[in-house]
Amino acid sequence: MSATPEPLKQEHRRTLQAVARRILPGVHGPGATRTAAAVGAEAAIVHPCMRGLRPGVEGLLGRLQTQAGQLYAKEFASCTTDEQDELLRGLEQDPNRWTRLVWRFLIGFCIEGLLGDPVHGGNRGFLGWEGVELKAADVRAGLCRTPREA
Amino acid sequence: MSSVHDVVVIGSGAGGGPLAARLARAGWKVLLLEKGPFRRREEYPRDEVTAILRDFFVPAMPDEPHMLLLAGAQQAQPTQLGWVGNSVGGGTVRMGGFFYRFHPDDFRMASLHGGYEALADWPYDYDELEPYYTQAEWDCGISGAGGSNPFDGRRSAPYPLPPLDTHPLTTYLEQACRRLGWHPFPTPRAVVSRPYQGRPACSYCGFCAGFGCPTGARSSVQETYVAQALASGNCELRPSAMVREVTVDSDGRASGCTYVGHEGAEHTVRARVVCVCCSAVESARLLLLSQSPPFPNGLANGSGLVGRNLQFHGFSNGRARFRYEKHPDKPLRHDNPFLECSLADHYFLPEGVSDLPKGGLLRFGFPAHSPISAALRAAEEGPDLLWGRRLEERLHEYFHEYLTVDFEVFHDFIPNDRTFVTLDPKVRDKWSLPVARIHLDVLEHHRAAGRFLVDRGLEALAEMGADEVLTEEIGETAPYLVHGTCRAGRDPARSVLNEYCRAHEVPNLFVVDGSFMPTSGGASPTLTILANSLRTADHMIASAKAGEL
Repeated sequence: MSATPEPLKQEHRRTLQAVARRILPGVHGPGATRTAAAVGAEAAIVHPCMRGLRPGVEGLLGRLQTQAGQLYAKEFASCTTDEQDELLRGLEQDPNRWTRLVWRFLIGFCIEGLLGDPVHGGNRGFLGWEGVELKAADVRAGLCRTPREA
Repeated sequence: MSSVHDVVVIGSGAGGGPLAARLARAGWKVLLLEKGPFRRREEYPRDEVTAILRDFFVPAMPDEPHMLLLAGAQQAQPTQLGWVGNSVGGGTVRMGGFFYRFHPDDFRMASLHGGYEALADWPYDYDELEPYYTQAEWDCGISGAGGSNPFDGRRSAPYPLPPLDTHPLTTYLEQACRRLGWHPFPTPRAVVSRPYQGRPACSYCGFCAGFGCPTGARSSVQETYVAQALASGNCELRPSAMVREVTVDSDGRASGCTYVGHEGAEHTVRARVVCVCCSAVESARLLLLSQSPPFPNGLANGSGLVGRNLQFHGFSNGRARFRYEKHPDKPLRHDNPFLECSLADHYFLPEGVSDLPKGGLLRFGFPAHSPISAALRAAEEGPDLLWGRRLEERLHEYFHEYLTVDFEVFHDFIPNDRTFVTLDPKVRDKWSLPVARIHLDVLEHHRAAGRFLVDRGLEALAEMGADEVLTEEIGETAPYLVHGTCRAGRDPARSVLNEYCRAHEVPNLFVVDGSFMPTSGGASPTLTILANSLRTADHMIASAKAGEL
């Protein structure tokens, strides 16, 4: 039986929430804030089967925090959206392949928080599914729920 | 209680399941050990996160990684490449269930193409396997149209069930293929289109590839052969049993195995015959782990060939968009999840495409019923991984403005001397056993064949009227279709197993999964693995009757 996973540190959580808001800003969809996508993303990051990846994600969140302090003298979550995007572009274009890979996972985790079943914490009120015209009943129970004639 | 079983079958997937069923129905006392758990239909999650994105069907990477060392790389990396499925029924519980037969030429690749890399002929031919193909198709209730693929080998019987109902767009695709001079046929599916042997007909819910079937309509080995084996009264199934070693007697015969049970205790079982059926990477690993004075380099590995000739499957794919506003005449929004259409016209390549004229199969379909995976694919489309406003725009477009039709290409993974399995010298699993290290080299032929086949798929979709067509992957490696680490052949110096999957060096040891396959074929291999397993079981029964086991 798996032990209850250790949650992210508060500073990492704040950074993750801010990153999720930039990945899913809510301009052409419900966005990370309304769907609580960062909650779903954190559930993915701390899941025991992701423990090999977790240090990399935490390192990346810590790097954003450090860079925000060095460049803008504030924490990442308090930076302007332009400042945040600038730092995120740095991850996207980082010469280190591993950094780019972790960034890709982070985007994936946020998408998971947007479109995963709400039982995992994100997709609050099914807003993520509604935003892409998926009905909760279809996603949960299937496309054709009426058994067909043999 | 200490007892000697007639046979212990290690692994309950496509190799072990049919073997256990056939032997148990013949009266053998079978012990079926499975590393993964037993789950009832209603225990399969319909939630994409749990079923596909976590460790439901395959082990968590930190617990049991495979290590991958690419040709030319200095350092091995953890990977899930080569894991098939840890569950009663093995990988078949989450398979798409595309049950093609191999072409007769797949059995004689060396004869046809000479000494290209490590190609070898099979120790038997298509005609030898044909009755078992038929048997497996009827055991599983394959839905298809026999004779509809003009490139198929001889068939002695039709499919037991008609093809599944399909999305009406299938007709448009078939017509497009015919206009191009090709021969589309309904994809043979291990999903029952009518009630069959106590299982209900498919409900068309869309929870197929990647998910466990919630109704039992998909013909997993759990639903078919394991159920048959248990119903015989002669088979005992022990799930959550991690076998760590095949044991041997002083005379060099296999005596049974040791395993760690679900409670964490170690158990020893004894059996007259031992069958290793853990899928190609893990079967090789188990033999390599089973070191003893008679077999210091691993069981049945005096030749040093255990783990060699590892093959996956060549994998390439593409897709097309049909914009709703541009196709008011087409039934794009129909809710049938299946677009069942395959093409074998390019199973062999025309001259000039590659230095090996071997192509493969195209299978058309719709993306899986998995919004996260679909969104990730949409985000990764194009040169940049999207995020922010551009990601949201792409997702909006993907889900609102067009229907995606995709296709995948199954093509041969050519065996070569640089692709093989060893024990990793450093990394151990949660049982403190060395994990498998996969050495991988992908040939240029995979890219050439994949490119040609994907272009044909895109051509068909363009002819069908697609608004945009996109190449996705070319010449990649399908991670869960694994073969070849215990090659079967007639020469003990060049093979691990004989023509009946019996180890040359250990007369009561059989390896019965994809490991035996000298070449991977140009189609998905599951049906072939089932058929070979039935053939092996018949040989074992006959050998036992003749006193040769």
